Amino acid sequence: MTLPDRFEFFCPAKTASGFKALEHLPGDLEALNARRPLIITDPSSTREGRVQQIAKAFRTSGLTLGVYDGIGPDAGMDTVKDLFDLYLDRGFDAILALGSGPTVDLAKVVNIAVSGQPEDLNRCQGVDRIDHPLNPLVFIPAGSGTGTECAGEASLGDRTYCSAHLIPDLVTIDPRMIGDPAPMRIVSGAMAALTHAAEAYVCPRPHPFAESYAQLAIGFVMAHLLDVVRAVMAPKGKMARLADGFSLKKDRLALVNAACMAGYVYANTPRGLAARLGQAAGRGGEVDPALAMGILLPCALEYHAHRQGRDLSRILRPMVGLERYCATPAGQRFAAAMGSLRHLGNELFVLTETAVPRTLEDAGLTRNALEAVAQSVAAQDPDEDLARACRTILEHAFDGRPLTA
Amino acid sequence: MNDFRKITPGGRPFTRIYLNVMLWFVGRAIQAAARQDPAVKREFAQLPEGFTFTLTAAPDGPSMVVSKDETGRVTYLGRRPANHPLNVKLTLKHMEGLFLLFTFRESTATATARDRLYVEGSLAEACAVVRILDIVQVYLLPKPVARLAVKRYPRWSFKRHAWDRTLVLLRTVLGV
Amino acid sequence: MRLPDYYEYCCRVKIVAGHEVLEEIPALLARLHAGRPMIITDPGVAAAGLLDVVTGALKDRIAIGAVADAVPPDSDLQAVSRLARVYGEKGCDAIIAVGGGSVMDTAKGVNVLVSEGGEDLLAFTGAGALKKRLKPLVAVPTTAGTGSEVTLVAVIADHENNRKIPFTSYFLLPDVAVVDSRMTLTLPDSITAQTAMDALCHAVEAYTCLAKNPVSDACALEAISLIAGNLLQVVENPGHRDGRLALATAATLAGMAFSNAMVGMVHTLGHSVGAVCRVPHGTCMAILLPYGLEYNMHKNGDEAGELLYALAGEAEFIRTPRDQRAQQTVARIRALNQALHEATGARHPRTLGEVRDRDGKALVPRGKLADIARVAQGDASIFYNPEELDVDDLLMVLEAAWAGLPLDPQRIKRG
Ligand SMILES: [Fe+2]
Repeated sequence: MTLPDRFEFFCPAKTASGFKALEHLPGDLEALNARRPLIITDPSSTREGRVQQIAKAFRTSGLTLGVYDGIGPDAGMDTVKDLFDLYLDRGFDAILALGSGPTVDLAKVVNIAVSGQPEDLNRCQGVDRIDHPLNPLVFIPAGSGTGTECAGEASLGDRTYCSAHLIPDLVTIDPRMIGDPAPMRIVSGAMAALTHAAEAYVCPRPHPFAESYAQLAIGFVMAHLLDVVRAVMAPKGKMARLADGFSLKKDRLALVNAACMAGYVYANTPRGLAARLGQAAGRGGEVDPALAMGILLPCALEYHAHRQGRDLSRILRPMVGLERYCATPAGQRFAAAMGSLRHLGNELFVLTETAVPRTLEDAGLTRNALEAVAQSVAAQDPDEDLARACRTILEHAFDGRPLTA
Repeated sequence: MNDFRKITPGGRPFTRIYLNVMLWFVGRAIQAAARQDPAVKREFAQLPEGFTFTLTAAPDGPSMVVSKDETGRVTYLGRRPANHPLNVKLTLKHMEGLFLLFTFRESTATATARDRLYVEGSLAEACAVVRILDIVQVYLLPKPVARLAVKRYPRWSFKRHAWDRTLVLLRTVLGV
Repeated sequence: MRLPDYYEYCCRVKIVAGHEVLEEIPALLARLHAGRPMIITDPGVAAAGLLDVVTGALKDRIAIGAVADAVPPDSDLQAVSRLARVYGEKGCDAIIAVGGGSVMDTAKGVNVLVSEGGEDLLAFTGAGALKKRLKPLVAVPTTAGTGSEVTLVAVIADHENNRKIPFTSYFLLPDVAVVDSRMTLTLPDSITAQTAMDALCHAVEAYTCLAKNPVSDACALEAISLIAGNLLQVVENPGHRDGRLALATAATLAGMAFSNAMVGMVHTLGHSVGAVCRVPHGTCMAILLPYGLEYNMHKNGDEAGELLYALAGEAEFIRTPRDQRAQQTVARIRALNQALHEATGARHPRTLGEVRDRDGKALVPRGKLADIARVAQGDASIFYNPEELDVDDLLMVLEAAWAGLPLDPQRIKRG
């Protein structure tokens, strides 16, 4: 890879992952000059024992924990206001955001307010409007996120905030926090991660910093997703399940790592076409945007490779590993990579008894709806080529047809 | 705010007792080995007079302090003697880390590699302390366990394995 | 892609790299709410005209509060205090460090004093002594080697007590590393070779030692590919801009890798050769790297074998049987040293016995090896080495590296 003339990378989050990761939290908080953490999470975290596990890991730390576990599906600005008061009245100095997407977004929004003034919630909306570091925020994944929790974004209702200051200071991935698997959530999180990571390869100025993280995300998803889905879908006896439990834990840990790595990539690269089209396709509500991304991904990559002449053959390396990558002739690599992606999609379709769609048609979209999706993405920047690209990619993804030269 | 509550996590009294016992053993064994084992003697000989080190867990976990006095005699000073200046402090970031170490699930090398152990004070002297700890573990632990605790199980003479070990263990228990 | 049972990774430094990125420093500082930086650098950098390049790029866009261009090669507590006073007197609000390891270490030390106040840097030695963000620090590396623009350590000498004091804290990390190819464009060929081999060592040891993790692995592989693909070209054609950027980027990537995964016995021995015989760090690294791989091969041969891909390319990787790859990696590094030796007119030594000072005097007499081995026993990087090394092992490796002979596998005690 030749380096671009200019590139940048920024990942201010510390990642701690694995065995006894939670036990490191008190020390890591201390290093961030925080002593009074507030856990913000949803009721399932208490119900499923995650909060209790954190409390256990805090034994002998000498710290006390605040716990707010009332984040519901429709928590909004009222909750932010309540948490703002709670944080300041009780003298908390750090937030532990435990869970995924919306919970973490809400915690980030609370952090904007408590790190400055309540008015900041209005003033700081939009891109790059936060001009000072926020109070410490730790993200503890519960295993059902997409990884965008690790990026510098938060949205709540119709408010969106985008700033590198929203990237968590610390991401603590502990197997004990990874909740009971809901297969579709796992697949959808992994597909979003895969898409965000893979599209780093087609950003205007690809460079080794973002690609290092992208490789990890791609590699972990490709190596572990099918095993996870197989283990959670297969109807088995108790004993077999128990035996699976150990490797399942490791596989899921790898997937959560993948999501976080993809989140760091997401924070450093512009959105690719598969991500944008998938998002737009999901706006109607009948299609899961992340699953749509997974379907669109090979078509979008093929568009860049075949219609724009980008050399993407190196994307095969994390998918199949060094050995098989080198064994594949250079001219076949890109096709082999797309083959791997489609194989993954098809396997998921079978393993989940068709719940994971292989094509946009499977996903329930109609051919007529495609134009609107294309338009909504193309409208973001008025470029005739972009509109054409969107249409081409959508049509191929609708039929499940590879896009050739 | 019905959904808010405060948790004051408890201590771990039994773990604490266990670790204190283990640290007592190791501290006394270092004292014993310093009088019996030639390699440990050599290590201590190269450390400065009054050299004192501790092994502990943050924030206020169990600990042990060992010191070499002006005459070169090495003594286990107990858990936390007041106002003793430290040359080297080995700290596990949390008590669980110390527990993993003393249940032989993680060696000092593994704990270091996993960012669970940090060193304050002179790094060169800390290296000597780790070498001493390694030798002492070989004395105290049965071979299969000691193999997990050190990077390379040493090839000792039969005399050192049998005779010196017996004496080190005896001295550890008796404190002489 | 192996996921260790537990790992931590952190590099909070923002990286901005390219051919003309110095010009962005004023804007980067503005985002950090600073507008009056102090430039800290050393006489070598100034004499090479690099300081002028930096000030030229900043001029008209920002007020430079002070320029300190006299950082000594092993900067000490006095130098740090003196610079901190200048910072205060001139009303500066940020630091731009332009240089190699010593300048970066000094700037980190100065930053502690000017942010925390006081005169006594020693008050901030222990773990957790620093509690809050320091003043903005922009690092501009000029050597493409040390990676100190992304490391959280600063080593400051205490000449009065004849010791070196390490400071470690995430707060020591620069806010931004500005990696500009113009800063290394004029490096002489032998220095280019040395510093690049230091970076290569960082990447190789990060990949093969005990604290390796997936992120450091990925960064290390990218770094090795960039070095292997560009080093000889740049040594032969020093003005190669893209090659220079590639090496500088590689050094930063390697810095990100080793500041998290740490380094092993190559650095253990290298630090000691440097301390006892005053041999430049990069030279020690180049000579000792093959030995570190040989010594540990029974423990990390798989990892060492994977490096062949990055070092020699896929054709050679796939051609070499799996069980011979680690050996081939070592052979490749030896060949690289040989090629550098030839390309620099023999100014890149291949053995410790070959290292000479400017007057042609041997710097590492054989009689010093025992001293070096003893010093090496006190270097903390030894913790991260896969295999144990006692003083005899260290001496055995030094003897081989002195003579330029491969290690005798029979003499490696396997744990
Ligand atoms: Fe180095």
